[in-house]
Amino acid sequence: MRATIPALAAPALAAFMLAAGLAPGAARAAAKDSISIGMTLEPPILDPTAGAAAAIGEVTYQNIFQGLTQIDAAGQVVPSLATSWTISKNGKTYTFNLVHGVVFSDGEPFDCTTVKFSLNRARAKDSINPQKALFAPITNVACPNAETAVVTLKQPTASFLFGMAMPAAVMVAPDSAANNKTDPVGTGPYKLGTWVKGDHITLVRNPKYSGKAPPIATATFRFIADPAAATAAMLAGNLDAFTLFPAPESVPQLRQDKKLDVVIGNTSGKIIISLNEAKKPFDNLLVRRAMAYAIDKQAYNQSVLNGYGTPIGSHDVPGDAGYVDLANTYPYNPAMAKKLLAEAGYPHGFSMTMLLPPPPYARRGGEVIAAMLGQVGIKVKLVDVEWAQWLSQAFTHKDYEATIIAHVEPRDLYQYANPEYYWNYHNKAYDALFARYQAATDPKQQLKLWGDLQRKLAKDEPNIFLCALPKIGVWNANLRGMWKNMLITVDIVGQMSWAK
Amino acid sequence: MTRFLLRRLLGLAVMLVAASLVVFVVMNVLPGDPALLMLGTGATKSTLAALRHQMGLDLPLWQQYLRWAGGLLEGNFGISYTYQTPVAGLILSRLWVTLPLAGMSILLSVGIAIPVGVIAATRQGKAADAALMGAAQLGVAVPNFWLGLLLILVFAVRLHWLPATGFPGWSHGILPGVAALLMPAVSLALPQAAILARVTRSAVIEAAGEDYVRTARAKGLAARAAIWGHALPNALIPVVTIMGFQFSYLLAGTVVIENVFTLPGMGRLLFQAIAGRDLITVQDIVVLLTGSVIVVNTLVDLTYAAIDPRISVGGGER
Amino acid sequence: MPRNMRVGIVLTGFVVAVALVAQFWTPYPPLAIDVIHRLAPPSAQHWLGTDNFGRDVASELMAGAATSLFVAVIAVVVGAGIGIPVGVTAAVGGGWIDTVLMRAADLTFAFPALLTAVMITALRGPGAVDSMLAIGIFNIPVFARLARGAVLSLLGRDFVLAARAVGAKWHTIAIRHLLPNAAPILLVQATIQFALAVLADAGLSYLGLGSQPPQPSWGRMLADSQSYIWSDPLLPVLPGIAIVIAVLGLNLLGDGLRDKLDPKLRRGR
Repeated sequence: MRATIPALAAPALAAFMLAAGLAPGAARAAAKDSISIGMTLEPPILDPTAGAAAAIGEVTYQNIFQGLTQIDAAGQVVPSLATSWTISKNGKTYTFNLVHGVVFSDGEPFDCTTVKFSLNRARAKDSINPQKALFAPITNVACPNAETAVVTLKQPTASFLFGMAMPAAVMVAPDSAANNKTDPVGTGPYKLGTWVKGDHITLVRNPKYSGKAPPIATATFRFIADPAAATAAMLAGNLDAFTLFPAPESVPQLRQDKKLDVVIGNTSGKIIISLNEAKKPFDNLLVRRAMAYAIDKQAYNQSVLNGYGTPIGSHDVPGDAGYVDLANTYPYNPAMAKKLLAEAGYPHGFSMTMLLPPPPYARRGGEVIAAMLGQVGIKVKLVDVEWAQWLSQAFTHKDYEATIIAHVEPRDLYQYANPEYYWNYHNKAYDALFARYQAATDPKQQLKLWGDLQRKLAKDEPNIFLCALPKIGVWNANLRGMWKNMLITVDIVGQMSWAK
Repeated sequence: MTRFLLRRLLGLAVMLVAASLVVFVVMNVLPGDPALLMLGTGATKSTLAALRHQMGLDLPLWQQYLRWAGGLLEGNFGISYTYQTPVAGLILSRLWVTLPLAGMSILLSVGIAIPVGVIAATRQGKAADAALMGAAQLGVAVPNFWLGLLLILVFAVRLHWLPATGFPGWSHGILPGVAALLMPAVSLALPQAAILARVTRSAVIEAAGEDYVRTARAKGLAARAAIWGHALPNALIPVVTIMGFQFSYLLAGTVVIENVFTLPGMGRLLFQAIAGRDLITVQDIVVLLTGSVIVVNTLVDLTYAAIDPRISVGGGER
Repeated sequence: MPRNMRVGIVLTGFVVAVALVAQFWTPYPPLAIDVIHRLAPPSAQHWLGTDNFGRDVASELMAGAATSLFVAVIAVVVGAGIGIPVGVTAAVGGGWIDTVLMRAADLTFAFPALLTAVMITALRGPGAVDSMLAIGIFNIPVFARLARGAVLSLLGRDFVLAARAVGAKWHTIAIRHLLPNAAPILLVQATIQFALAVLADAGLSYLGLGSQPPQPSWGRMLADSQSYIWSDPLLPVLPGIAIVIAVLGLNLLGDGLRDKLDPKLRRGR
């Protein structure tokens, strides 16, 4: 027996090491007009106006549903169902010129009544729109004629056009809106083919689409949550693309595969340590700054994101128009951190609890953050939580001290001016600054104020800003039309094609 | 026997009610709100209230329970909070993955275990016995999801023989479906087979010592024929018993394996439904799973009673 | 002593010894992060290399041995500590007591362990015992059934009848006569459940429901590093091997104990 075990184990192990060490062979030959895309989470429903999950937008945005405006690969607001628009001098009236001759996939026409219906539905009293705040400034939607929509706002809102490009603001038709969750009907180039729950969704060309038929005829979105399984699926050639690849540690292996392109870009995700300012000692600016000095963002980036992230110093990401690099506001300096802690009245540090939701940036990140804070005397107790628990405990009941979280909503600086938000950050100066930004009508002025907002947050450090969440895109080298950066989570199949 | 059966049936009903109550309480005690999960970090008080009303989450708990349990009695499994479609359809489509997976792994495990066990028994004490039982000991000790990862590494990524993950659906034909389930079934089956092989070996050795096998040999039957023809059938009883016990472990194992291979099965549905606080779906699955395990255990008990009249079927008479 | 048992004792002894040594000494502090030297291959400085945080894998494995054993002990203690009294009570009490207890045990056994684990993880306040309780709870009916069966088979024996004849109370009989005689089979089962608990910890950790960070545990090391299987295969392989060694050792030990304690089966060896 003693001889048997090693004898059996050794060849198995050798085969395993051999297999692991060698790069994989040829990927499956590319299909002409179909594509399979991996994503980590399955959308629970397919109506972006009824659920917050980013996966809903990833499958449907610009594929099935379209908005008045849209975000392009550069993060800019560009025309979609509104071909052009004018803004009144006072910044309160938006006049949208709508496309002609567009119908929904069930034949219902798109015109101003659709716009009126969609916007009013989103801001109604019983609305369940996950981003209802986007529609809060609207006071009226009028239809002077079928091809023009006039939207009136309470006050000038610099972020309005950007908001109308969000997945939650897509246009839905009165007849089909109620069933969009399971049977989505939109104006986009694709419609739902099949949905095998838990495995994949297939989109097929929408024959009623008014534009040119897109090159890809069918797109299959496959749900693979496990990072190791995602790597296996790419290496084995079972997938053509994974736009938000979940395993940064596998990138070196994927790069060895000549059949694959690996492109590292940015998402709008800001990985931060949220601090609850309503709890001591996080109400103390010195403590927050001490924590910022105690954390080596580059070390976090290396050990958690394999170095593909970008350290940030405020609540914005590179790639966003108006981003200011403030990553060096509090350079790594444990001695300085200890000094500030002593000044704040905590010469021996203190104990705190940190909630960690499931993604690796939090679970893995928590371990390295706890070790770094431990160096300056801050004892961190890590508590793993599921999303459901995080949302109810931290986000809704604000019953937490600190938590690591990536805020993925683009340009969400408004949340720091939201007194209800779970950070409990209340700063009159910031609120006033934000009001000035929203009221600004001149784009240059807007950009400058956007920078000031970021600087103010860096100075105040209401949360500890860690890194921009990288967008690791992996796809077949013959695939065209994939985005490097992504401010909102999308896979715009209409732009994709296979190289000859 | 009829009275015994009736009592067990009544017990089964009571236990299902108890299970439904327990799972309902557990799911409602767990922190987390399905409506909040739908709305995410953009949720406001008004949207949350509107959605909770739409989902019926604003009703008192006892009404929610009665609505669900009453529906179950009428064969109505309710609507999934997450997918917004009938749970019955969700579960049914998942069973088309999990049941074939469980079936394949049981077949594989028996197909490996019985020959291995019998061969080891016939070569008792020899090198082949030691090698096979050593392998079995090793097999019991290997975590099944780890085995799954190794299989993917070798057969999908390195050799390209089988798809790494996912399930194409039976509509694409039987062969692709079986191919997709092969590695998961092997990962589940090998540790089970290791246990079964050891049970088979001991049972065969024990049966081989019994009088009738010796008689058969005395009548001139070859040793091998005596083992396969006489000892093995009698040894099957403990083997079947162990298989019954393994059923519960198998159901637990599918959760992990379905996650490794991202198969759209019941286990993963349960896992995701718990994380997504899809209360209705979790409650339905738990009642189904609990019920099936209890039924299988009852059957095992009945088998005992049928085989060995000395075992008190009432359970409790001193 | 059977060869199985010798191998089992050596392997188990090795794991226990490592766990004990780790209480006083590891090559490096098992939680010390050193990002500059992350993902280092095995070398003279780091015998088994370093992980993605630059922690010394050998030290982590040593400390993990202690955690895994502790976790398994809790699971078995909870299971046996509740299950055995329940089983004995059911057997001795008989009638409706037996029916209620055993049906409750069936229900516990049939209730998905996954949900139990999620529930305990979610409800566990700071400072409470780990989610290994879930495995412990799953073990309760295993021990309850076994204890009940063993006791039932003993109830008709002469020494029990004799004790009853002299008027001994049931709890005295249970403690003095029934448990000592049922002990061998329970001990064997405990060893097996111990091994299963180490495996179950790995499985639950894989699903993110195992022991909590920063406590090093094999299950979590395996779960955390399994996505490194492509780039640094040693990382997930090593804790896997550690698990295999521990489980193998415990199973062999259990087999050996069974052979020694159960004369009926000894004939087969």
